[in-house]
Amino acid sequence: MQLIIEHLSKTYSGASGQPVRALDDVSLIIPTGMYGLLGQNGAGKSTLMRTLATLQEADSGTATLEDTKTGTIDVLNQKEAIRQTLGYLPQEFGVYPKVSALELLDHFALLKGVTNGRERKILIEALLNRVNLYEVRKKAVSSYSGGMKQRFGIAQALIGNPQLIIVDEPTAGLDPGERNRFYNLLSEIGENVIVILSTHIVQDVMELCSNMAIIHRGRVLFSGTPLDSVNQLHGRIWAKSITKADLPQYLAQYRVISNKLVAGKPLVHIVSEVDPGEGFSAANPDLEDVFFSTIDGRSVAADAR
Amino acid sequence: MFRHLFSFEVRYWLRQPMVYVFLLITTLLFTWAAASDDLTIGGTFGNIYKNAPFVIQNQFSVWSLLSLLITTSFVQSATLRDFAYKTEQIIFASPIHKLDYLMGRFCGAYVVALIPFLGISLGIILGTLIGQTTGSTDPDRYGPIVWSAHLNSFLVFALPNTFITASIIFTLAALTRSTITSFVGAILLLVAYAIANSFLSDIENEQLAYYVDTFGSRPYDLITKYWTVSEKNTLSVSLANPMLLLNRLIWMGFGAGLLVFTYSRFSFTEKATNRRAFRWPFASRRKSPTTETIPDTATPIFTTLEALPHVTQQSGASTQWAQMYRMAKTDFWGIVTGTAFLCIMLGGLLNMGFALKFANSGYGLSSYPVTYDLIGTIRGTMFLFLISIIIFYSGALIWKERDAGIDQLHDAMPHPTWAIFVAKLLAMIGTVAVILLLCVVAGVITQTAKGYTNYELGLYLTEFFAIDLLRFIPLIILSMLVHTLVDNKYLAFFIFVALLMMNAYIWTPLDVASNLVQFNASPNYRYSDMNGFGPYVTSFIWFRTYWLLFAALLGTVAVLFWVRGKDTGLKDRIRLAGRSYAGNRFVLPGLVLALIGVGGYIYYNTKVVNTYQSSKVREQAQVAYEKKFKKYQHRVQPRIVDVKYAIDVYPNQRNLVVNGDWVVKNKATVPIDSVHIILPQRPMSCVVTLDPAHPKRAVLLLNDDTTQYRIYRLTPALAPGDSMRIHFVTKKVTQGFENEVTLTKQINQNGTFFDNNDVDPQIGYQEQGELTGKNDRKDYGLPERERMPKLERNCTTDCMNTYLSNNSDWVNVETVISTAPDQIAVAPGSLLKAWIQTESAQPAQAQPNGTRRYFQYKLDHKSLNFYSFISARFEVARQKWNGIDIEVYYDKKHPYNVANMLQSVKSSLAYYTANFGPYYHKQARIIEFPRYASFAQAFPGTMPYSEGIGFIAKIDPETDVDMVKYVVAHEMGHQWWAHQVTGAQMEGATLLSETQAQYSALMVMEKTYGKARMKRFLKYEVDNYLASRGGESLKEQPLERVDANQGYIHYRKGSAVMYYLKEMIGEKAVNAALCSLAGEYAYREPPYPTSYALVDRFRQNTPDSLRYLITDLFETMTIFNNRTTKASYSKLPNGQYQVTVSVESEKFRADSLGRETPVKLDDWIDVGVYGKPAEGKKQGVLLTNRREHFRQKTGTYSFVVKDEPYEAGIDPISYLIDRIPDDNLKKVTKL
Repeated sequence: MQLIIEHLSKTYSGASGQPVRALDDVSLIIPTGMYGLLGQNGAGKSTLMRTLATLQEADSGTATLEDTKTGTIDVLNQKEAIRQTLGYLPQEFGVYPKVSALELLDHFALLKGVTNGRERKILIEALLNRVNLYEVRKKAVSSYSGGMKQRFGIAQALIGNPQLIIVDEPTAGLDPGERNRFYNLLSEIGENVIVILSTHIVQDVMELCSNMAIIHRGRVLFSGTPLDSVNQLHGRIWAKSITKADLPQYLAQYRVISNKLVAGKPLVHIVSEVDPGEGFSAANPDLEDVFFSTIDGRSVAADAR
Repeated sequence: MFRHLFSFEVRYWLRQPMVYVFLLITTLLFTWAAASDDLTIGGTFGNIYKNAPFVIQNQFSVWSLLSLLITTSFVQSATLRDFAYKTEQIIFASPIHKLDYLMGRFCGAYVVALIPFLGISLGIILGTLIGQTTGSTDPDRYGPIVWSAHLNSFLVFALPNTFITASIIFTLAALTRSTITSFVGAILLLVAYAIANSFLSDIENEQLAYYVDTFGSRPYDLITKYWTVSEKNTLSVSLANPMLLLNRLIWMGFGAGLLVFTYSRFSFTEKATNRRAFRWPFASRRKSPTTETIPDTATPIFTTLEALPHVTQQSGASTQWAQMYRMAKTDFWGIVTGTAFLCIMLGGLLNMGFALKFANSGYGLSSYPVTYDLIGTIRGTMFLFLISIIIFYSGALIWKERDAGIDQLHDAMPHPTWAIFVAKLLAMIGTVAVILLLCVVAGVITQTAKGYTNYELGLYLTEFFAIDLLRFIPLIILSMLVHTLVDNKYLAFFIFVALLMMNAYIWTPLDVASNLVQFNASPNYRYSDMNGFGPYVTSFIWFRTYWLLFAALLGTVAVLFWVRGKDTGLKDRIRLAGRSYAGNRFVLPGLVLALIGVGGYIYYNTKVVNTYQSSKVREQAQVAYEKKFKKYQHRVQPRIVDVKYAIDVYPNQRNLVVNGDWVVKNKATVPIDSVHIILPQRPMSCVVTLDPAHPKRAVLLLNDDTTQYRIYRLTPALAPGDSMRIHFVTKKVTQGFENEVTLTKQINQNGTFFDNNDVDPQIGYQEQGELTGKNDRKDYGLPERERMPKLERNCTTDCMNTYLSNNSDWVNVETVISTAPDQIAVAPGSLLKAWIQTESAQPAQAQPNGTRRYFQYKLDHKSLNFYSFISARFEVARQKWNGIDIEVYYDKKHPYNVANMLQSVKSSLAYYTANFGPYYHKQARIIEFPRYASFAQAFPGTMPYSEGIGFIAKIDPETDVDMVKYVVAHEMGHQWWAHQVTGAQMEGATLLSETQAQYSALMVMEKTYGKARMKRFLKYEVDNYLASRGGESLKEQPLERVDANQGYIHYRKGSAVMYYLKEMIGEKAVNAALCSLAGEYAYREPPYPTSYALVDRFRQNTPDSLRYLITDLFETMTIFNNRTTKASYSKLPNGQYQVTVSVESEKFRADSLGRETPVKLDDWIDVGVYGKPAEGKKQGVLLTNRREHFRQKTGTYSFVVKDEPYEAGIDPISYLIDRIPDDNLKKVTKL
C-alpha cells in the first residue's frame, strides 16, 4: 500500500492580496509506516495534510491511495471513499462543550460507519484503554489537559481500522513526558498503515519515522529516509564555538546553517565540502543539520538529488 | 485613564463599519416612512402631519425598543472584546483601574450606540424635504420642523432607553462573559416590556405603567392619550412632565444601580469555570488558569497493546440514516439543554402566561377560554420568541462545529453532507416542536385553571403543528441557506432578518398579491367554532405544499453549497457544489419539476379558474368607477317597493343561487328612460332582466366590465307612478381554489350569512364604491371626498333618501330559501311554511341529488330594504313575550349566554314598547354566525351576532359590565332607531339611530343593574371618545352633525351625552321626545327626519335654565377641566360628618381639530361625597350629591353626611366630558 502524490499545487490569496503558493508542484511517494513531514511554520505541511484529509481542494495534481486489498482510491475526487479509511488529527481542534469522551467517541464511531452498537461499545472501550483515558471517560473532553486531549484526538483517529492516518503537529505544546507517551502510541499503529506526521521538531522525525520529506515554502526539498539524509551530509558539517561579537563576520564568511548558544556562546554549524580550518572541527551531522542546510537557499540536499 | 479608554472605544467603533451601517439603515427607513405612505413605523397617525412632533416622539419611542439589538451589539462587543481576542490577561495585568476600564468601555459603547438615533431625525427631516419637493406625498401633510420635538424625543427616549439597555447588557456581558447571555438579556427585556403592555392594557391598571414601563412608551401614550389633532401637530412631551420624568428616573436609576453592581462584582482576576455553561468554548490547548483540568493519571503508557477489536464499517443508506438520526439527536439536545435556550423559552412562557392570565377584551370583559382564542393569544405572545429562537439557533447550528473547533474532525468523517443538513434541520424542527408542545400544555392548563374543560386537542395540534410548524420550516431552511451561502455568521444573521423584513413589507408597495410570490405565504384563514377550517382547507394545503417544495429546493441548494472543509473561496465552493450536483442529478431537477407542477396547478386555479386583484388594481377600478359614473349620482332612478326571493344555499359545495324579483316604481315626477344597474362584485356572477314580460323594452346601452356598471335604456320610459319588474339571478359557484379565500362570510359550510347588499344588483350610482382614503384620493387626482350633505333645516332633495339607501324606501319581502337538510335557514319575517323536498339534479348546477330543506318567510310589516339570510346547523331557544316570538339560534358549543340574550330581548321590548312606541314585527331573532366577521347587526326583526363576541363572553354579573345584555339591547334599540325612524342622508343621521340605540341600551342596563353601576361603563365610553378624537382623520363634528363614519362620536360620545341629558332633564322628558319622534316618523315615506327633528324635541322638553345643555351636548364640542383641590371633613358632635370640598371647573369649546377656547361658565354641576369602599370594591356609596350652579372657576361647598366620608369632589359620577377624569375626586382628610 502506498500513497502517491503527483504535482500537487495550491495557491491562496494571502492577507495582503498577494497569491501565496502553499503547495508548489509537490510529488511524493509515501509507503506504509511512519512518514514525517518536516518544515517550518507555514511551510505548507498543514495544507498538504488537509488536502489529503479531504478538507481542501488542490488547484492541480493528483493523489492516489494504492492498496492491493481495497483497490485504488483517487484521494482528491473520491472523498467519501477516502473518508471511510481515513484517520485525521488536525493541528488544533475543539470539542462540543459538556460532552464526555465516551459520548463523543461513540458519536464519531457512528459517523465513521460503525453502526453495530455492541461493536461500537467494545471498540471505544479498547480505544479509551489504549490511550489511557478510560478512567476519565465520563468527564467532559473540554476539561481535559492538553496531553489528554491529544490522546483523545488520536483515539478518534483510530476508529474503524483506518489505512491512512494523518496527524498534524500532534505534540506542539506537550511536555516531554506527554510527547513520549504520544509517540509510543503512534509508533504502535504505524506498522501496517500509512501514518503521515507533520512536525517542525527534527528530533521527532529521527526517532519515529522510517521515511520523511522536507517541505519549505510549498516545495519538497528532500524526500527519503532520515538516515540517508544524514549520511549525505557526512563530512560536510563543521562546528565552532565563537564569541557573539564575531558572529556577523562568520555569517558573512561562511555558509552558516545554524547557530545556537551552548554555555552562552554561539556554536555555529557551517556546510563546507572541505575543512575550513580556522578552528572548525568536523561535526557528526544530525537531522537538524539536514533540515537547516536543506531549507537554506543553496540547498545541498537539492544539489545531491 | 478613563478619558483615554473612552476615546479609544469611540474611535475604535468609528473605524468600524457597524455604526455607519446602523445609521444608514435608520436614516433610510425613516426617510422612506416620512416621504411616502408605503411604510409606517409605530402605527398610522390619521390626520396629523407626517413630521408632527407626536409622530417623531412615537417613532423615537418605537425605535428605542427595536434598537435594543443595536445597543446589544455594541455593548456586548465592547465588554467582551478582551475575552474574545484573549487579550484579557494582558489588559488585566496592566495597571488600569477597574473603574476606568469598565466605565471607559461602557460609556464609549453607549455614546456610539446613540449615534444611529440621529438617523431618525435625519430621516424625518430628509423625508419631509423629499415628500415636499417631489410631491410623493401631499405638501399639506407636512408641518414645519419642530426642533424641540427632536430634542425632546432624544432626551426622553433615545438617551435613557439606550442607557437602560446598555447597562443591563453590560452587566450581563461583564459578569457572565458570554455573548449569548447578552442577547438573551435583550430578549428578556422585550418580555418585560410586553408584560407591562399586556398587563396594563385595561384601563383599570394603566396608572401602574408610570412605574413599571422600562422604556417609557406606555407613560408617553398615557400622557398623550387624549391629545387632539392640533396638540399632536405642535406639542411634544419633555422631561419637564413630572410623570414621565419619574418613570425615566426610576429606570435610569435602575440602570445606574446595575452599573454599580457590576463594578463591585467584576474582577480582573479570572472567574471560575462554572460559567462555561454559557460558552461555546474554543477549547484551547494551552493550559490556561481558566481551564479546570483533570489531573492526568500517572499510569505509564507502556502497557502491552492488544490489537484493537475489529469492527465493520458500513456505508449504505441505512447507515446514513442512522448517522443523520444521531446528529439530529445530538444537535437537538445540544440546543434544548442550553442555558440560553431555556432562558429565552422561559421568557416566552412568562410573557405568554401573563397574557393568558390577563387576556381581556374591551370593557374589562372576559370570555370563555375557547381554544381558538387561546391559540391566538399564545401566538401573539410566544411567537416573537419562537422567531428569535429560529433566527438564532438555525444560524448557531450551522456554525456549531466551527465555533466549537471540532469542524475538521467532523468534516473528515465519512457521513454524507445531506445527512448533516437534514440532521440540523430536524434538530431545529424538534426544538420548535418542543416549544409548540409547551404552548399546547399552557393552553390546556389555562383552560383548566379557568374552569373550562372543552379541550380541543385536535385543534391545538392542527393549529400549532399542521399549520405553524409547517410554516416555520421554510423559514428555518431559508435561514440555514443564508448562513451556508454567506459564510459569515453576523452578516448572515443580518441578511436573514433583512430578508424577513423585506418579505413582510415590500410586496404591498410592489403591488404583488400572489401567495406564489411572497415567500412562504398562504391564504389568510380564520378558524371558527361553528365552521372549523371550512372554506380555507383546499387552498391552504396547496400553498403549503408549494412552499414546502420550495423550501426543499432551498435545502438542496444549501446541501450543495455546504461548507465542508477549509475551502471557503467562492470559486472553490462553486466547483465543489458542481461536483456535489453531479453526484446526484435527480433531486434538484426533480424538485424544480415538482415545484413547477404544483405552482402551475395553483396558478391555474387562482388565476385562470378564479382570479384575484392586487390592492392597486382594486383601487384603480374604484377610481375609474368614480371618474366615469359619479356624474350619474343624482339621476332619478326607479325605487324598489316589493321584493321576492328564491334562494338556494349549498353549504358543502359553497354554492349560492339567488333568484330575485323586484317591483320598482317611478316615485318621481319625470319619466325614467334609463336604468343604471351595478352588478354584485366578482366572484359573484349576476344576470339581470328588466321588465321580463317585455323583453324588448330594455336595451343595454353601456356595460363597463371592470366596474360592473350598466346602463339600460327603457322604451317606453317608465312614467311617473308606474311600476315595472326586474328579475335577477346571482350565483356564486365555487370552483377550484383561490389565492385568498373570498366570500367566506357569505357562503360557507356551516354559518352562511349574507345580506341583500351582498347579492343584489344596485340601482343607481352608489357612493360606497368610491375610494375613501384621503391620501389615496389625492394620489389619484380625485377631489376630497364629499362628506354627508350639510345639515339644513329646509331640506328638499337631501331628505328624500335615508343614509342607508338611495333606491328604496319601505319594502315588502317574501322569501323561499332552501339549504342542506341538517341546516336551518332564516330569512326576514314570519316563517310561513317549512318542508323537505327531494330534488333531482339541477342541470345548471350539477349539484348532487338529494334532500333539501325549504323555508318560506314573509315580512309582517314593510321595512327598510336591508335584511339578512342565514343558514347553519342551529340549536334554537324560544320564548314568547306578549305574542312576540323571541328566538336565539345558536351553535351547540355556545349555550352560555343564550338565557341572558332572551332576557335582554324581553327587557328591551318591555322598556321600548312602553316608552318609544309599538314593535311591528312578530318575532325578534338573535342568530349566531361564524367569526369571519365580528359584529352584531340589526336587520328587521333579526339580529345576527358573531360567535366571536357575545356568545362566548363570560359575564360575572357582580363585577362585569354585562356586554351581552348591552349589545342585544343596543340591537333591539335599532328596531326603533334605524328600522322605524331612519335619518335622512345628511350630517347627524346616526344621532337618530346609533346614539339612540346606545341610549336605549343604557336604559335597559340601568333598569337591570341600577344607577351605581353605570359610572364604570360610561368611563369606558368617555375614555374611548377622548382617545379616538386625536386620531380623527378629517374633522371632529358636534353630535348633531356627526358623520355616519364617526363611530367614536355617535356611539361613545353619544352614550355619555344621552345619559347626562337624561340625568339633567329626566328620563320622562327624554323619552317623551323620542316617543314623539317615532310617532311622527316611524315607517314614513320621505322626506326623512334630520337630527334637528330630535334635537328640537329635546330642547322643547328642556327647562330654560338648562337650555345651554342642548348647545353643549349637541351643537358644539364642549370639554371640561374639572378638579378637586381640597377635601376635608370633621366629625360633628351629633356623630355626623361635616365635609368641605374646594373644586375648580373650566369649560372649553373645541374646534374640529381639537383647538380649545375657554368659554364662560354658567353651568349646573354636581358636587358629591363618597363613602368608604367595601372590601374588594373600588368605589363606595355616593353619600350625597348636590347640583351646584357654577359661574366662576372655583367654589367651596360643604355637606353634612351620616356615614364616614372617604372621597369627595366635583362631577362625582363623571357625567361630563373631562380630559382628566381621575382628579375629580379627592380623598378627604380629617381636620
